[in-house]
Amino acid sequence: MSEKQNKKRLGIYIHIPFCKSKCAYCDFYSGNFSAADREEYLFCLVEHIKRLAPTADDYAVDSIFLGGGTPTVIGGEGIARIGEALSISFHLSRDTEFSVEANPGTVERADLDTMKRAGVNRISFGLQSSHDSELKALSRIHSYSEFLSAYSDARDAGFDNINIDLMYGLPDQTVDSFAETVERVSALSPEHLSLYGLKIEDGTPFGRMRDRLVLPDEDSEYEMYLMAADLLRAAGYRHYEISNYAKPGQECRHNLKYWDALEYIGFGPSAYSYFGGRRYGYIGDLTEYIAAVKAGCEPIEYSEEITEKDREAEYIMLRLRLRDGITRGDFYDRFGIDFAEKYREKLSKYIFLGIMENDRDRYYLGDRGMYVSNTVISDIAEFDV
Amino acid sequence: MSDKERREHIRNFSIVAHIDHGKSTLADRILEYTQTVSTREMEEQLLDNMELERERGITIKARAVRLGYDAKNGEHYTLNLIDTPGHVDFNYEVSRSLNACDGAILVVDATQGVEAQTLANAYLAIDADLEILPVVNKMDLPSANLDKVRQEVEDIIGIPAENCPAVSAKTGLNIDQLIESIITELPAPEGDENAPLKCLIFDSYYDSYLGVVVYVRVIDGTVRPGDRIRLMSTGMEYDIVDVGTMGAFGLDKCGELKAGDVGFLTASIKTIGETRVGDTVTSAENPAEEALPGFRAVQPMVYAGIYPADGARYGDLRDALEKLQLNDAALFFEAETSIALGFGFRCGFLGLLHMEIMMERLEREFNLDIITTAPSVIYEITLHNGTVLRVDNPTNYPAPEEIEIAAEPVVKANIITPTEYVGGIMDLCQDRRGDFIDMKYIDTERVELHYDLPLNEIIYDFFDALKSRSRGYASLDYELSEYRPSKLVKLDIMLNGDVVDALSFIVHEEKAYARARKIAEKLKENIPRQLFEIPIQAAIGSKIIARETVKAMRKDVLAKCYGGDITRKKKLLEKQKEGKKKMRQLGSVEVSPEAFMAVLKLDEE
Repeated sequence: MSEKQNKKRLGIYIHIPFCKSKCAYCDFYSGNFSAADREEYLFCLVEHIKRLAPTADDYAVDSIFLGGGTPTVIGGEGIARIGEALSISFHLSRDTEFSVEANPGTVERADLDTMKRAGVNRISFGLQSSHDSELKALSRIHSYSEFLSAYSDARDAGFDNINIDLMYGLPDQTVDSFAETVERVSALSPEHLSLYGLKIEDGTPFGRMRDRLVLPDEDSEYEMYLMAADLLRAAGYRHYEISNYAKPGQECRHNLKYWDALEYIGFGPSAYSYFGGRRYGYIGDLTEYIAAVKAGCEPIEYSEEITEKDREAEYIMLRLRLRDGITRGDFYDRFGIDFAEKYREKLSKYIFLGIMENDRDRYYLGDRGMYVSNTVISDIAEFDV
Repeated sequence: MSDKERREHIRNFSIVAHIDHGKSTLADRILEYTQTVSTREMEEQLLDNMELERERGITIKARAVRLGYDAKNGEHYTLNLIDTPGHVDFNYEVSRSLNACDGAILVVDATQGVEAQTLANAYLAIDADLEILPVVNKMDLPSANLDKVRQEVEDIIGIPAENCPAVSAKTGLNIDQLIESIITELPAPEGDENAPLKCLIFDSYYDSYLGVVVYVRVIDGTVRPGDRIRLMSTGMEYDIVDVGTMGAFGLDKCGELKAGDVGFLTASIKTIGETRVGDTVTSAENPAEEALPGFRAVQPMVYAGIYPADGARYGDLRDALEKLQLNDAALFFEAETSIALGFGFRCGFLGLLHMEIMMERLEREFNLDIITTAPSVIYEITLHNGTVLRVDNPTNYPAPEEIEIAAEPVVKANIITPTEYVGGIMDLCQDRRGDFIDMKYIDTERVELHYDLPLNEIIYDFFDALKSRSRGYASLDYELSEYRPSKLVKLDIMLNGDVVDALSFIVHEEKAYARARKIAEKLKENIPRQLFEIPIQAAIGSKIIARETVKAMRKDVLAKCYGGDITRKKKLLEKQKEGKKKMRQLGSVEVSPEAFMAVLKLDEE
């Protein structure tokens, strides 16, 4: 497909709701489905992509993200089929970022080669910890050494843009054990790292045993967060979002779309889209999703029109997650409002408290501020509810 | 029928008892038996007609009802049952209601025997010169011990009980005997229907159509619609609109009330503050020479600040208090402001129960979320220059260097407990700065303890502590006795260096350190971490006596925020914002109304 200069940019998210087994903390929609179900889903997905693509005719797709679940469960071939459907139906940019989440326990070298040929150029490994005891507590299906071999396979297959997900605030985890994980992993020099504080979600195994879990307290978790930020900064990473670190220029383009409030279309059960002034989400149920798509319907479960007021509030909420924060000029271009003037009193308060930083026309949260960002955002942003 | 013959066919009586000894159930049974109320119409415990009263099983305000009864002698009698409040906070109201009677039924639980309030109420009835008819209730229970309880009544109260009725209000056992005994054992009213009018006011309530409805016992004289009356304590005069009697389902108007009658009168009276319980109603044209004895203006004993949790509802709170005051002359309030809590009211109550009831009614009947400050008694402060101040709000407590004498109210407390708990209770009283007076054995199993106790030690959690140390068996009764000089200090609480006026309180010097530590700890537990570290300090004057620190908030973040998370996060933040709106800004510190209440909560054990 040819790329036209004036096309708007679009991200595409595809949810692969398959896992060999559920991890104790995970509340994403996924399950252990049969090969036949997986096949039927892929068929539907391709249909759905074909059907919706014309609505994005004046957009050029510059990021694709296959998330899950465990996308690698469908194998390199499955991923290639999706890539093919996307490239046939949508206008893809020449430099499209194409990320696939991989579980170190389900990815083979051959899959990596197939993915590479299909245009995938970024692999995101869900490692979580370098300690097998911690992995076990999370009910991850892989060991640290399995990860190491998957990682080197990916490098051998030619992937030069790799992310590794880590978690902290885990049951029985200490600041030292997390520091060890961060040091080991940064020594591998991945282009990108995501560090997520564990959140106990209702409806997960951890949620059910909430009262029995021995979790690091608020102060220890904060120490883990700060320690990691310091270590990674020293190792040449930029702490560009609350939970994300990248080598310069290697920020995840797709994820930045969320925080820049740019448009994206999602496919698959529980996938969300932000497109044409609306945010909508598909039903989190594979069978119902398949049935709807087959019937020619849109399996929309949630939909909201984003008002002007909400657009502004969301922008503040999302941009303050980023180290780049909010600049007066960008804000004015988007909303015709002087950010510094409108929120002067609150901005001064947070700058005074050392929570917010101000660099000429740019307002952003530092390491400390990022970790209390909910307090700041809920005070500043005025949602239209 | 002569005046005497008419009076011979009236009995005016009360039922008195310790709490839970079955007073209300017995009243119901009497109403049912005299067919004043049919079983079908009978709402359980009709006399207690406030929802709250029924839930708590106590009578808050007096009510009265007129019953008809055909006695075994073939004569028809009018029985006026005057219910009395069942709690120590309302002792004065109880005494006035009793003065409207000629006799009292003293209900004693056949399984529990004589308790503190049995005694207190019996003494009140004796003080009011009433003939007392003891009744042993709950005879249906297997553990009923009639002989023992009768003996206790004779030994402890000193009234004959040998042949007293033994009933079960629950099953209706021997209720007929009891009612017959009311005729035979309790006296008919005295009085002269031709003498100058004297009526005792024992209750009143506000009705939006009739104005104030005044419940009276006619002692002497006759009162009719159109008569001009005078209230003797105020000298205010009114024209009678209606007189009548109290039926079970409402007022029954009649042409006149005469000496010995119990009934109501209306006279276009606008507020119940004008019709004070205990006051005497007389004729303006032919007034009585002197008022009935025993009247006193109601004095609140406990004060607290009441504030709307949502400052915007100040007007609603004022309206609600005004409405409550329409029917409760004992409720006092005036506007006050607190730096911490904004606009609210200083309210005075007869006691803690009265206060709790008012709080609950504000929340339930008026749907208000309220914050109350720590309850305070009235301190009498004599300054060096001789001025005497009555301080009901710690905020107004003078500086220590200005004070010559600080005096606090002391009550005479009467505690009855099984002997095995005496030790624990004496420790409690000692801990509460009590002065031991004496201890009397009621029998081998029970003891009556007398203490002088500072009222401010009782208003916090004394009753709960007493109950917990006696597994619920000990009972308490008290009355105000005097003001005594005491070593009092004002304790201030500071958050982030600012004094929170609503948390200041007056405390005895010896108690200051422990209380200060406890409050500081509770504040620490209840103040959520904020963006900066918050020192909590308790101080007497400029001296810091306790300190805690709320650490700075470290984590309030959503780790992941991708596609669908955005909607969820928006909702989460919106909720957080709503929560913030309810927070009170105390200086630079935000405190939720719940945290505030937790700190002020009375239970400390």
